[in-house]
Amino acid sequence: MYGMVHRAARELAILRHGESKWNAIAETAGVSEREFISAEVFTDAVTISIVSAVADADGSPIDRTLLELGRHWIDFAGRSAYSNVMSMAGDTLPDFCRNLDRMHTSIQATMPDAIMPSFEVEAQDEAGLTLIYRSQRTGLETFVQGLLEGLMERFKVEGTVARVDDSHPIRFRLTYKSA
Amino acid sequence: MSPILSLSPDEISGLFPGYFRLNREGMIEAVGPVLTRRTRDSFIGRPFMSCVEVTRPRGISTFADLQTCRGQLIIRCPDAAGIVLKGVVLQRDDTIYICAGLSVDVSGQSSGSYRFEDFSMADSTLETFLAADLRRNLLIEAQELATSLTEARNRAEAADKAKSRFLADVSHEIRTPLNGIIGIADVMAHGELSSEQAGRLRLIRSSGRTLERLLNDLLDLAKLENNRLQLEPVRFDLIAEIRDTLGPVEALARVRGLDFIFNLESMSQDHVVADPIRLRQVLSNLGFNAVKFTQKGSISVSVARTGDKVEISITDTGPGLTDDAMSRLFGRFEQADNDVSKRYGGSGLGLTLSREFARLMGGDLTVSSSLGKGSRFTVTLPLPPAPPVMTAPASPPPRGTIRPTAGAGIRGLVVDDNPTNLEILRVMFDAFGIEIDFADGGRAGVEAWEKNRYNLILMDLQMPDMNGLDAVRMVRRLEAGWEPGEERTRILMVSADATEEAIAESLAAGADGHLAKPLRPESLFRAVWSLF
Ligand code: HEM
Repeated sequence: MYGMVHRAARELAILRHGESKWNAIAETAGVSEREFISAEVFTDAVTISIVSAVADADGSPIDRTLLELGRHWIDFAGRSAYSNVMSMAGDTLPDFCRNLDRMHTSIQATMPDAIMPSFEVEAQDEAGLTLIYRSQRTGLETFVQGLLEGLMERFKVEGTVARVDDSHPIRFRLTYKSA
Repeated sequence: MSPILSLSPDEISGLFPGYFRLNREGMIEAVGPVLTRRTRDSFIGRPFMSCVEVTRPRGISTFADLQTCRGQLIIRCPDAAGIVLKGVVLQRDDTIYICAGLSVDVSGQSSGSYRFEDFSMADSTLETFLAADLRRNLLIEAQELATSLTEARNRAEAADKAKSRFLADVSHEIRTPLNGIIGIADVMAHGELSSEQAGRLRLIRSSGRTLERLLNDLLDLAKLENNRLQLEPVRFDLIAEIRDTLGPVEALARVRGLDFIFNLESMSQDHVVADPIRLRQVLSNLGFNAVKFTQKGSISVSVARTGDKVEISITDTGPGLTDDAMSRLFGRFEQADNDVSKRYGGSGLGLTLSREFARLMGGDLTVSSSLGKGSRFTVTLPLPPAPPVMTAPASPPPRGTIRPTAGAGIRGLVVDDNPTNLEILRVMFDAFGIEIDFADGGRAGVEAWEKNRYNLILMDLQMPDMNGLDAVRMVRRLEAGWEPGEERTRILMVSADATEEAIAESLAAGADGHLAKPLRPESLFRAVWSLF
């Protein structure tokens, strides 16, 4: 994965545990880097070992930390270099969700080594929407859950995000009062 | 009807987000989402030609011109935040379509005001636009990283400076009382002592000198760590220097019943340019180590030149070293608690420093050893031969204790703000029968000198009220106003700083000589005598 994901993970770890603990976390993860460059590509194994080292430090299961990382990514992207892309993607939660796929497709030109996920709004009504998530990776469902919760927060929408049981492809149901 | 007109408005918007649909009269009937989002006053019902500026092709000023245009059209929309669109004119029956999309300036700043919907799904304007945005951000990110690295480096450097400063301060603080101990013990050694007292005094003196060496080693190490150790190369005769340095080692070896063999491969003179002080440090350290660990047998020194390279080896017939001990011998911070260093004594830094010095001089220090047979330390240095110095041979420095026949004729003044230093000097001068007065600061010193016209001043360099350099300058200025024929005051600057720079500065200020602390009776009186 591109280094921007690791930057977000580093920031999350530092926010929670402080700069010096981050050094220990990175060491546990077995990475020599203490800072990451967005444009550099790391293997998924590196990404996973960082997340699990952060989880160790959090004292929680890795899925919990993935969820937090998802939520944190929205905040991180909204503040950082990606804030333009985030605001261009839409002014409302449904608009944004509809643009998620286009966002990743359009970014691919700049980040040719990315293995991009694909998103599709399957159904949408007053009460919510159903989002299909397709990926070449497995095990990132809680990360997506966190991302979507983060998006709800970003658009100040009250509601819930739930994985639709046993659906193939993977679906998330976003239920909200009003968007 | 042609197929394009059967597209739904949504479909047209997706392909040409900046489209205009006009009627036969050129009035706007519908517009794409880029335009709707950006105008407060609707375009609908207004004449197209009065709402936009056609910048390409040139010369399109009427609706009739537009209808005949077949090339690429560039239009600016002042009413829609000045956005620029690019497209073509399509006319079908009574309807005219300006099929256009955004033409964005990718160097622009206002990317946040665009939305994905503003970009055509059928071209790569959005990709281009995002690429520019993301690249800009990458640059910012790189700059931030560079800044934080610079800051971290600056912080580390500041910490390093503080550490060096601290070391310098502390060692200065230690040096002063230590000088007191060594100086007074040296003076006492010249007096009448019982053999028991003499033995105890020897212990005080040798302990004092060990402490002093340790202090110097630590300072050298600190300088090496901060890359602040500067070599001071001069031209000298290598063979004479080696003989001179190892003279005391040879003497000690013979006292211990060891053979001492010089193997110079028939080299008599060999002039080189290098730092003789550091070379001395390395050789005497290796020499004394060899003697220390050799119970019986010999110490042999060999010097060999191959081209520009000189190899100096010191071989002993001591116990030798295990591989493990050899690998740890030069480690910097390990010595203090491993037994190699305990056996090798001293500060335990001697070998570390020796290797560092050798490397600083562009060479190296290596060791080979076989257990039970002995060790060989080899210094290899790049020392191209240099032409000899053309000066008359200097008379050898006097050796042993100096006992002045009389202190008569010398009226001395010691200027120093530190009472310990004053006391040491008082004891030293007393021992040599020279009467001396004291002043505890630069200003007081100059005043006392004006009143009593001393012909010798020992001036400390660092004093709070007026430093030594300023005081010397003032003395010299005042002297310039004297009657011709008056006796000139001899001034010796006394300072812990014995660098060439410091010496040059003292001489430039008007001092006749520079004495390095710690003061020893021998060097003090040699310097004093040389002036009278
Ligand atoms: C400016 C914002 C964003 C940028 C620049 C961005 C970029 C990327 C990139 C480059 C990757 C591929 C990682 C790789 O293989 O190297 C990725 C993956 C991913 N993105 Fe985004 N993204 C953004 C926002 C979002 C948002 C808001 C979501 C919300 C759902 C999201 C969901 C995901 C997911 C789930 C993946 C995991 C990939 C997988 O499942 O294989 N992204 N993103």
